[in-house]
Amino acid sequence: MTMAFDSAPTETSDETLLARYAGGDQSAARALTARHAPRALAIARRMLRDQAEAEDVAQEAMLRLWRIAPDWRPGEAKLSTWLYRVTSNLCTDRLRRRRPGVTLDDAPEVSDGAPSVQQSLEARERASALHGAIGTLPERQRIALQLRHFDELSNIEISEVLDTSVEAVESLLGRARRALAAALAERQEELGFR
Amino acid sequence: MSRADTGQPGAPDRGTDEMLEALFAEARAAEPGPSEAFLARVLGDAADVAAERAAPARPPAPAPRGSLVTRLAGAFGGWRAVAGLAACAAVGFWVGFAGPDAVTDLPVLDTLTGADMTLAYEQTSSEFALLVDSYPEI
Repeated sequence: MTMAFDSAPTETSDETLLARYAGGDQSAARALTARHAPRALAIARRMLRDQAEAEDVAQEAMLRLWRIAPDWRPGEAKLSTWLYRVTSNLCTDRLRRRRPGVTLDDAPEVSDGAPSVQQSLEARERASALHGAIGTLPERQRIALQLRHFDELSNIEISEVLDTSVEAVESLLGRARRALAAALAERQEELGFR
Repeated sequence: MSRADTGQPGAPDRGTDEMLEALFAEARAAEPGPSEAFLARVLGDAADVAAERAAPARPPAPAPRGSLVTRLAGAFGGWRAVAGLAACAAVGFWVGFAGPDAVTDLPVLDTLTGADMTLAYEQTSSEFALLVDSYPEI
């Protein structure tokens, strides 16, 4: 999609932008929004599988960022991991309030890059298979795997989001990948990988 | 992706591993971006919070209306409290001006207590004089 919000210059740190926002600079808020809101939304959407709820959660996480801005202590936490952690926790709270059985919907819509009908169907089938397999993982394995392979966070960042050790993250990721591989191994041909 | 799992029991084989990577890449590319409306709401929140922060502190509550006497009565708890206070002050002034006899001679006290207050006062005075005589060192 087209982003009407300009990204901040890469040399400006998150902390600097947040301090500028706390000082009344709305352009800093625009830069922080462009930099972090999409990923917060993506995390929430993947965890909640509901676009409207995901937007609510990501907006709430960003709101907490705006509110904490004047009290932010530089060097204590990385803004991105703090925000993703808040997002993840808000999602977890929502998931726990949901009734069992409504946590996962169908796979999200695959964006239309004008492929053929056959390609679209195959891509949709692969996405469905992947998200279906991910949906069967235990919660922390699922979150760790999504943060690693969709949001492309480092293991250190994931450990900060999940408030655990790097070793525990490696263990979560290893188990998650093995479970996914086991679930999808028999479907390689069906999914067009052989 | 860390390949730390490769070689461990139950680790994905190369083909499965490549398939997972391909699936992840495809899923990442398929993720929709945020809508303009969502980004606008986030920025609206940022502006609201900044405006709240920039707003001056709430002005002090306006002084209560009414005359000085009315406000003083209010400070003491209202007209009933002021009336009670005035009555107590008048009685105190009267007792101070007239002396203790003015109180002990009140017939109403005899009625209330069923005793002769004048006699009780005189008895108490004489007992005190006797006590002083018995213990001059006090």
